This record gives sequence, C-alpha cells and structure tokens, in this order.
Amino acid sequence: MNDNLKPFLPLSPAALHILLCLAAEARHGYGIMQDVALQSNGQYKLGPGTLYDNLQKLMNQGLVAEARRKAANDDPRRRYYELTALGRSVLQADVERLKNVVREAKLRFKPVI
Amino acid sequence: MTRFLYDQLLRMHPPAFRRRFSAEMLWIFDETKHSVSASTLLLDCSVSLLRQWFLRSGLWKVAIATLGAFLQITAFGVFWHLLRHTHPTAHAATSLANAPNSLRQFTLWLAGGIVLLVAMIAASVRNLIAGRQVDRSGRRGLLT
Repeated sequence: MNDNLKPFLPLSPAALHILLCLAAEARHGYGIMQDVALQSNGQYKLGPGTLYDNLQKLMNQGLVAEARRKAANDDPRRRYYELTALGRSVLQADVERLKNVVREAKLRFKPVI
Repeated sequence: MTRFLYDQLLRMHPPAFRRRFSAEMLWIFDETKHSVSASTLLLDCSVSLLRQWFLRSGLWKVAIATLGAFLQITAFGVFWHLLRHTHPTAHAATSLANAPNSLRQFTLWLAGGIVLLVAMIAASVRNLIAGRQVDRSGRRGLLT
C-alpha cells in the first residue's frame, strides 16, 4: 500500500459508504443518502447532518470535490459531489484492507471437523 | 413549525458550514419530511450543530484554555491562602513589590495565562464576526 494513503485509513463507516456511492458517478447529497440506504439494505441510514459533516471532512482532505451541475434546469440548491483521484486510491486501499479482514475472518470461522 | 425549527438550528451552525451546506440541508429536509420523522431530522441537526461547534470549529481549544485559566486562578487562590497561613508576615505583602520572589513569578505566569486566554477569545470572536459579514454579503449577492 502507498505510504501517503496511510493517514486516511481506516475509513469510518460513513466515509466508506459515501466514497462508495461516489465511485460510480457524481451525486448530490440526497442521492448519496438514498444510495447509502440501498447499498446497506436499509441497515445504515445517514441523516443530512452526518452526511454533510462527513462530506465537509472528505472535501477538506481532498478526497471529494464539488462537481459540475448535471443539467442547467436542475434545482439550484442541489450540489453534486465526485471522487478525486486521491479519493479513489484511498477507497481502493480501504476495500483491499477490508478484503484481508474478511479473508482472515473466514479462516478463523472455518468449522472444525 | 418543524421546518422553522430546522432552519433555526441550521442558522446556529458555524458560518463556513452554513454557507456551504445549509441550503442543501434544507432542501433535503423538504424532500424527506414525509418519509422520515421530524424528530429524527431535528435530532440529527442538533447533533450536527454540537459536532460542528465543539469538534470542527476549534471551540474546544477555547474551552480547554478557559478551563486552564480557571485552574490557574484556583491554584493561585490556594497558594495565596496557604502563604498567608504559613507566613503571617506575608499577608502584609499585598503589593507585588513586597511579595516573595516565588509569588511574583507565579503572578507573572498567571497574568501571562490570562492575556493568552483573552487573545484566543478575541481571535475566535473576530473570526466569527468576519464569517458573519461574509455570510451577509454573500446573501446580498444572491438577492441582487
């Protein structure tokens, strides 16, 4: 793993879900909230306060940036967010970390015959 | 009424956060008010308010500085009280010129601490006022 990604890892559950939502395409805040609920089968729901607190932190860290509006006639209150290159690298590194956690868990939970 | 309360809670957020996200949060409130209970949204906004002021805005630094100053003042009071009881001649030394060296040093440290605290509070208030002015001019810009 790249050493300059270490300070960002591990991601908090909220940050991980937000970055995952933005991995496919730029989304607005409400879209992120809906997608997080969908991703987790309704088990993890972000409120607007938690969402924007995390978005602010991710933007300050340079992992997320504001994207251009999708349509000119879009509601002016809607703002779109997208992953930066650094954000994508951090997300990939965290997913790798989680894969290792799952692999280790599978080994330890192997039924004894 | 709930929307008004939500709006008021948003207005209490730090200026930088409010400028950036309050319109969007109010829009999400309008979109979700029928599917999510009002109490959940208000609680979420209240938690966000506390988090923004105490964790993100650096207000905790002022809180720690205030606590430090109170501890210094209390320690000074205790020190002074003990000094008066253990050295009866010391209570005549009410002026700094007559005070023992250790007491003079302690008073200087205390004064330094208080000056630092006042400077920190003044800087925070200045930032807050500057943020509000930018906020107001931003709103004026939107209206024109």
